[in-house]
Amino acid sequence: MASFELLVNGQNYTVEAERQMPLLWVLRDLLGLTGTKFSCGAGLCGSCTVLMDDEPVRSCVTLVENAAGKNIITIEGLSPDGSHPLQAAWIEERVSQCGYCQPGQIMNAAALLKKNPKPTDNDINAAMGDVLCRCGSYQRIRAAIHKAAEVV
Amino acid sequence: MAESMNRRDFIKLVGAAGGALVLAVYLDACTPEATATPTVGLPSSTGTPEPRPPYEWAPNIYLKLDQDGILTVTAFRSDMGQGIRTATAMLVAEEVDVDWSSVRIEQAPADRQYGDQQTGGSVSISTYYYTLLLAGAAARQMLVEAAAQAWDVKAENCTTKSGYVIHPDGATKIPYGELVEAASKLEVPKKPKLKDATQYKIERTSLGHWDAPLIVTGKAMYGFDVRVPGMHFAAIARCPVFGSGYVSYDDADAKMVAGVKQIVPIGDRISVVAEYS
Repeated sequence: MASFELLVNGQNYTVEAERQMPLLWVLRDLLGLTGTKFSCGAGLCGSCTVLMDDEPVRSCVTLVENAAGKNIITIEGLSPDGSHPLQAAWIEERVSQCGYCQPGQIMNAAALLKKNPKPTDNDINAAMGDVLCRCGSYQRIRAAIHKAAEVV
Repeated sequence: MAESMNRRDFIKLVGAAGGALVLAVYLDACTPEATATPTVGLPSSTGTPEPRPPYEWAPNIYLKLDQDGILTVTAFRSDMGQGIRTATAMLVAEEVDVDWSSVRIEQAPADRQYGDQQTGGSVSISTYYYTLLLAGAAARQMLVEAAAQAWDVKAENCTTKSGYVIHPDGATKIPYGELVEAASKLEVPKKPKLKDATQYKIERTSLGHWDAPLIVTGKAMYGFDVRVPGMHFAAIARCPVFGSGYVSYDDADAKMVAGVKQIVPIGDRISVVAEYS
């Protein structure tokens, strides 16, 4: 066990954890931030995506020791009140069905818009294509990102 | 229903029984569960009259109304993205006659009163359509009766609109929230009358998932997000080859991991129980 200083959603935390503990479990189990979802546990599906220094990372395969000192943003910290353009667009375009992967989708989209405020369909496909949605909400995800890009 | 009943038999049975079966389900579920639970506020020490206690009225197992006129619908089926929480709440809200913005949804606990609570077969609405409309209509009828008694007019001359009971004069009105206490003392009607379906405002519209704002902020609670005090988590390690099992296992390393409590073999798999997931 070791002690780590984490900056999550603008708040400083000190956590005691194994060096090898994935960031996902630190967020969910130690900090109680259950908005970030576990799905494959192997970095394949993207449901657990969070921002680390504005880069999208898969928290299930990101070790806590590599997350220390970085600026981590989870779905809970994307906006104070759920008013981020992506969140508003996600509601307007009725993207979510079961919704389980959507926090990961939204955080991945947030990283895309930070780098590329006006993405084309191809840009979106390239950036979002490996974040999987079993409900098949891809078309609406793309529409919502375009809608949010009008506002960002 | 017999477990061996096949889908074809099931369809025939439902077809033969029609609406009466649904109504019977409704009345069984409705009558014995009517509750009114006043929550007594803190006693006043200033000598001023005590404020009215917060009051929540549950005329049946599908809904409750509070003194602020908020309608909470109990979602008793599992939502896997098909929107059944929203759809069932829409039916109840339609017949209670409140604005959609006054609706909240709570997931039901596992309870035999609700019957089969799983998801499958696309049958929730076809099975429970009238149950839910009648549950809402019963509440509305009681609210109207409570208002009619307060005004000393005939209930059939009163109407409702968006969370209010309207007086026969067409102008005077009482918000539902002010009627829940009186309504809760009335008998639950056995055969509530449904609204004229041509007047429906919610039922035939497309509102989007009520849960959408919760989903996009990470607040939606899935089974895996539930935490109870002292809770432990178990992960199951399986042989990667289908149909096979393990020959032996060495749990020495696993036991060294912080938080791991126990290694439990279960059949051809190994379960690791830990404080964390």
